[in-house]
Formats: sequence, C-alpha cells, structure tokens
Amino acid sequence: MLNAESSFGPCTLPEFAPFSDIPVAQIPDNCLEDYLDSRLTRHEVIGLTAADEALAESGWCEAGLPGDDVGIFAGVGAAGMLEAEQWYRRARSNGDFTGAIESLRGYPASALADTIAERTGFAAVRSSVATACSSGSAALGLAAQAITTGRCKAALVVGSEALNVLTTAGFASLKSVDMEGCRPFDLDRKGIVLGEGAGALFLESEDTARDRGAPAWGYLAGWGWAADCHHMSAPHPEGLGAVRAIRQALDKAGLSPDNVGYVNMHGTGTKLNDTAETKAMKTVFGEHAESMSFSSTKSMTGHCLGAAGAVESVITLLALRNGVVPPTAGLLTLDPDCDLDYTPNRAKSAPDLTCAINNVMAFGGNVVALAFGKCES
Amino acid sequence: MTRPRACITGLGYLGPFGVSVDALRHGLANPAPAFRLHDLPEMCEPPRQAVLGLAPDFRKEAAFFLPPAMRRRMNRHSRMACVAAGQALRHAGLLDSADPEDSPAEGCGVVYGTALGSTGQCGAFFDDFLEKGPRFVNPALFLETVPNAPAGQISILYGLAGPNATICCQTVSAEAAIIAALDLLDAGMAPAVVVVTAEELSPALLCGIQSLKMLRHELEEPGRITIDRTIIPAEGACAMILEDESHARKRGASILAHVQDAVMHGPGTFDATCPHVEASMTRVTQDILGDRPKPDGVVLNGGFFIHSDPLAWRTLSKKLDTGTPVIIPDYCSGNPLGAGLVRTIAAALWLDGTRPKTARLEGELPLSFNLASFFQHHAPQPETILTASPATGDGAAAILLSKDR
Repeated sequence: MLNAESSFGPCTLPEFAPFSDIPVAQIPDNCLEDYLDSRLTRHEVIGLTAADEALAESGWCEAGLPGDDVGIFAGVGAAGMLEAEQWYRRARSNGDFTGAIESLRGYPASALADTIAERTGFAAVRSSVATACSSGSAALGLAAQAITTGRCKAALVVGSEALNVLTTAGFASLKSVDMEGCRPFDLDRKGIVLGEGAGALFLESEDTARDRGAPAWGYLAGWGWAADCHHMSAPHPEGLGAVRAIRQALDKAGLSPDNVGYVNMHGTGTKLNDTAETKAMKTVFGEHAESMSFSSTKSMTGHCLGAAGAVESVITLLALRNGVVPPTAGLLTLDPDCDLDYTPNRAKSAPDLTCAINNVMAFGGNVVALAFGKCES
Repeated sequence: MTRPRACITGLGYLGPFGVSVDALRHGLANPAPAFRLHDLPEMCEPPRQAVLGLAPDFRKEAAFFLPPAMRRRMNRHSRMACVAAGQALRHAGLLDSADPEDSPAEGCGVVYGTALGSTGQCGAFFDDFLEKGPRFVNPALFLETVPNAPAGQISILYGLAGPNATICCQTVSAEAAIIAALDLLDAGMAPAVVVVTAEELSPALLCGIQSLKMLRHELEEPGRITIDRTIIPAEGACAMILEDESHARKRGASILAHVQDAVMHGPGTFDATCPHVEASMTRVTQDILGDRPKPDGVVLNGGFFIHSDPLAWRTLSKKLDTGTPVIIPDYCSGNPLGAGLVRTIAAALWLDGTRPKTARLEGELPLSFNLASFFQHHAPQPETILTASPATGDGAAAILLSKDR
C-alpha cells in the first residue's frame, strides 16, 4: 500500500468464468489455507482469518477477558452468497436440491458472528450489521456504544466480504466497474473494482485495556451516522449525509474540523460518489481542507463492500500509528471537480497526524463517519 | 446501566392477522389460526404444499403511503416494510407536518431487522442471470438485492435523515434492532427511531426452507398446534416508534409503553439443531430482571420447534411466578422469522389496554394442544411485560416493557 500497489486481475474462482475480463481484488488462495474447513463459507473463512489476527494483536492469548464480557459485531455485505448461489443454480438449472444444509448454512448475514462466537466463546451482545458498504463502520460504532452503555466490556468487530457472482453481475449491469482498475478522483475514472477482504478490530474501554496491559493501536474518538434521504444508489449531490455524519462524529469526539489531518474517503471511483464526497469534505472542513490529506485506499484494496468500513478503519489506524498517509493509486489526471490533495500514487509522511476520519457511504444513502485518535503511549 | 427513558409512541403491523394494528389487536383477543395450507412455488422440490402464514393483499395501504413511481420500483419486501413504518410514524404523529422542511421526523433514525433480507429480489435477479446470461441482467433488479434496501427506502420515503441501520440476527433480529435503537437514542444520535422488521416468504426462500426439510405439508384439525421438528413460517412487517421520553413528552405524543431494558446474548456456542435454550433463556431472564419484580405477563416466541419452544417455556416457568399470563402470537400467525417485532408490539398493545386471551405459564408446554383451550384466560391489566425469544442456533433475547403512568 505504501508503494501504491494494487493487485487487480481476473477472478480465479470457477464461478467467475463468465466475468474473466472484469478485474477484481481477490485474496490469494494461500492466504486462506489455514481455514480449509469445508463447512465454512468463503466469507466466514476471510472473516475468521482477520479475527484471529486482531485477537493476537490485542494480546488476547496473554490476558483475555471472560467470554461473557465480550460482544461480537459483524459487518457484512453479501455474506455466504457465493455458496448459496451455487446451490440455487443447481436447483434451478438441474432440479438438484441436494446439499441445502451445507450450502445455505452460511447465507444469513448472522452466520459470521455466530461462527466467531462458536470459535471464541464470546457470549455478550452479538449483532450483525448489513448496511451494504457501511456495514463494517456501523458495526464498529454500535460496538463502541454497546461498551459505553455497559452491554459488554469489549467487542470483536469484524467486517468481511467474499466475491460472489450476484454482486459482480449487479455492478457490471450498472456499468459501474472500471475495466482499467479503480482510479478514484481521476478525470478518466469509470467506477469501482470489486474486492474481497476483512478487517477486524478488538475494541475495549480504555480502562479495560489498561487493566489487562493490552497494546492500544488508537482510539475511536467519536462516530456519526446519517442518511442522505435522496436515492437508493446515488449519493446526494452535495454529500449531505456525509456532512451530517462527519459533523456528528467530530461533535461526539469534542473535536473541531481543524484537528483532523487525514480522511480515508469512501472514494469508490464512480463519477457521482467522488464529486459528492469531495463537496462534503469542503463543506465540513472549509479552508482547512486545503491543508489536509485525503485518499481512497479502494484504489488498492478494491471495494470490499460490507467489509470496506472495517478494512479502511484498520488502514486509518495504521496511518495514525505510523504517521504515514496512504496514497490513492492510479490517480494520473485530477478531475477538476475533485480538487483536494488525494495523496496521489505515493504514501506521504505525516508525523504530526493525531486525528483521522474514515468516511463510508452506502447503498440506501446511509453514511457512517468514524473519528480516530492516535494513542500517545 | 443508566439510560434516558425510552418509550413507544407508534405502532404498525402487516401480517397474517391483517393489515393494521387493529387486526393484530383483534387476533390477540380472538386467537385463531391465521396460517393456511398453500401451494408452494413450482421451483420448490415436492411436495408442493406447505402450511404458511402469508400476509394479505396490502395494495390499498401501499397506495396510501407510497407514490406510484416509487411503488412500482420497490419490491414487495420493501413495500411491506414501508407500509408498516408509515403506519407507525402516522400513529406517533410524526407524519403530520404539512411542511417537509419542518417535519418532526427529519432527525429520526431507522433500524431495520430481518433474518434473511431480500431473498425474493436476490432470487429474481439470479433467475434473470440464469435466463439471460451474465451480460444481460436487468440492473433495476440489482439495487434491492442488498439487505438494507427497505431501510434506505424508508429513509427516502419519509425523509428520515438520522442513522440508518439494518441488523440481521435470525429469530432475534427484532430484539437486536431494538437494542441498536436504544443505543442510538442513548448516544443522542436521534430523538426517535423507527424500528421495523420484515420478512417475505419469497419463492427463493420457500425453496430453501423446503429443501432443508423444515416445512409442514399437512394442516391438522382446525386450531390444533403441534410442536415437532418443522416450522410454520410467516411473513409480514411490523414497526414501532421508539422515542426518547423527553422528546415524546415535549411534542405531546401519546406514550403506549416504556422500554425498561433489552438484553441479548448467547452461551458462545452454535448448534442449529440443538440450541442451548435453557442456559440462554435463564441468563437473559436473570440479566433483564435482576432485582426487579417479576413481570405481570410474558410474550414468547413460538417456533413450533421441539428443540426450542418446550425448553423456553420450561425455563420461564421456573424463573417466573406460576400462572403468569403468557401470549404467543406466533401460534396463531406462524413464526415471523426475523420479523419478530410483533412480540414487542403485542406487549405494547397489552399494556395499552388490549385484552388478549392468554395461556398460563406453568409446568411443561404440551406438545399438542388446541388454540382455544390453550389461550382461554383473560388476565388482569399488566404493569410490566417480558418479551423473550431463543435465538436460532443459540443465545436468547428479552425486552422488558412497562405501562405509562
């Protein structure tokens, strides 16, 4: 990511043969081989892989909490659609209804959270959020509130998405896929590249983390959630939902716009999203926007849909921790309507970065903004 | 945990009982089966009949709440959710402003609960894909395949600019949605939240449930309920307005009930065929009641499922006073899957003066009984009601409601 590398290419899954010309950001098979459990769906395997890494990073093995104190919040998109659509295709095309239990078990959006609970024994509040592209961020916000209100002392938040045929065919039919790769804010951009992946974050109160001597990667200072009330698939042209959500996040964090140094934007690479979101940034941050850094890391990860918010939260925390703003890849000719510093093609050092925002905008017009702060120690 | 008092100020219902809250009220007072033996879609494997609780024709209500262009574009699942949400907003007096810029609903949020989401739309889109090929699918069908389509449509239709959530937790999706809504109110992110749940028995969904061998193919003698290894699924949508009490009082809204608390969790295991119902139900009951007095009434989930219902009944029988009045609306309508907000709505109606016929919580749940003899009592007007449901696989959820004083 620091070198603005992306790994877009044709999907090697056999179901994707009809889409061999469509680039995607696919997880290499060798990254998932620790979980060759045929009972699990691809999206569960991807989510568990990230969840295990987050638990290890949180010092869970050394000093965990009782399972009854830990909640699970999953952010999902199409969940186990890949396996379900294989069964459905067999049933519809050949009248072969066998294997329903195995194929459909992971279809409900709740499957990932249930599987994580089964593996970890985490038994406090459990919720699966399915708000399309904002699921991962919404799950993180709801987890934070659950900790604040005492429903749990800590929460494992996982956003996960696996490539599937239905979603690929859908975005292809909308002519929203850029066959040359995702190029947010570029004059010649033509849309998204679908990705798969997972982001996992172990969230706990500062006191709990301190008591168990856990390493802190950063803190969630505030969050906001608002709706555009405009259109199912197009953002409000002025980015009204994003304006409300970011202002709410800053307000809850007790921060002013001037405190923010970096925004990880939704930046899908579609004409409508990138211009509307840019307008929202200029409305919220005013003149300060000129001295801030922005980027869309979807230019490298692809659009991970239900996982995007969690994946980009991890990236935003890394930016704060390492003092490095990740770039927007593939940005060669800036769109005049997108006139911010999107950190084109090269990461940049930002040692003074103390506050960053992750903004996501989803189908249905819902927008979630998360304000993250840097941990000094 | 301390929180601003949350209250219920509006209700909406569309399901096997009818297309209004009054229809639900009537169904609770006069328990009778609203499920029937229906033909299954041709795409299902045989036998092609099953006992289902279907929603009645609601075109008239849809025409009332939805502009024609929006109605045409929206799938049935979203239309059901929008109608129920509109009923609840109207009931709460949140649709009365003539000036949309000054709408009292403007800052309200939406929390939508569903177990399985837009299965009908996913099936229709995939059928289009199989029929026409990957390059010629209808893009209009794609937009509403996402699970959060109904929540988005509700926000656009009624101009609700607050948080817009979709929560999927199988049979306890409604309780999980209420918990999310309470937390959003606590966080001050909205003064009121429309909590909506919906489930549609679409051809694709019925095809899947049928292949899981979970449907019933024969209707027993009228009014007889049997608990076994299959379910009677139902469809429909329910909605309620959950509002910060100070906001409701300030605008002079009628308060139907208060939500005292809501809890949800599980033992950290998952077994769809043999869930840990007793452990989960014991824990949620203990957690939600704590030192509080035992409730005057119970609304319980009815899954018709032998690994769930008798265990939930037995647990509550042990934990609560013998003879506590209990209603199980699902035994009349069919099990609403993720649209279980009907439990909380039934509790709110009961607290607000509806007099349902009740069973009495004691001993073991009979595995076969007649509705008329099971629900035959009239209980005194309750002050508090506990709604409870085991979750699919494991876990449980409960909501505690009280009367407005």
